[in-house]
Amino acid sequence: MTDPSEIKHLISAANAGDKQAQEEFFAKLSVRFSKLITRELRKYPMLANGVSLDKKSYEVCQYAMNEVRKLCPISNPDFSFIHVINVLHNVLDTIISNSLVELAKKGDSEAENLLFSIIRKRLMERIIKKRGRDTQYENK
Amino acid sequence: MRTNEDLVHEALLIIYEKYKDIDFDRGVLPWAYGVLDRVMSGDYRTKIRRESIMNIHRDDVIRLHDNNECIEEKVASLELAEEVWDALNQLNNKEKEIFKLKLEGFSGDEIQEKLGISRTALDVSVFRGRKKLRTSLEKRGVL
Repeated sequence: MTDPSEIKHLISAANAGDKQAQEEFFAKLSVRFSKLITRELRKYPMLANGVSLDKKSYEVCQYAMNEVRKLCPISNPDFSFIHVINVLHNVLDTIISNSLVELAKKGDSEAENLLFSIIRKRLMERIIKKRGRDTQYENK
Repeated sequence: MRTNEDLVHEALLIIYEKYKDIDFDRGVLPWAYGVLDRVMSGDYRTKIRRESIMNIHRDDVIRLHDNNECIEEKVASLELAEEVWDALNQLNNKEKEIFKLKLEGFSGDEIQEKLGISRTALDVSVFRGRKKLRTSLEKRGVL
């Protein structure tokens, strides 16, 4: 997964309609992303809710992969690996924030702090993106 | 213009006040994005309004009036409007905003409320603005 040329090759083949390459690409992506999810979920032990970290990571990963398949079809000529990574991060943040908000509503202050740090980070990203775009329009 | 930090901070305050009462069908993040978008739209509207206030139009000058002391009476004619318009644009932003609201027919109390300033601050700005206007118009030979 760390070899960019291998990924590039898989994406080209998948773009051309090679089903096996598509599956291989998503399998590799899934392995890589599940490690990231486990690492992220470790930061939020309150989300485990009696479920083991591995199981939770697996569930989140499956859901995220489905979203990626839906939102970034590899057969699309505009398919971009960066877009896939963005979608995966968005899905992960969405899942974590939705779980945290439920805990925060029940009075868990630690969950609330973590929730607001995620929201703040995402809002800053959004405003920078939007204001950058607005400035471009104004300059035009 | 308010910074990104300011706008995000305002959005976070709204989110913090409201999130406990909301059922998130589509998740908390899309809702938070909506709050930020509304804050940004409000900021944009304020900016546009402020810019329009700062841009005093010549036609407004013709309608210039005041209940107390009237240097404006002396500039009632159309020929002088251009000079007064230029003189008004020499004022600082706060004074310009006050004179613009006066031109729009707002009372002292209404201006005070709109701008969120004390009566004393309003009176001081009006006094200074008039003084500047008078000096400027005298230099131009209008008064």
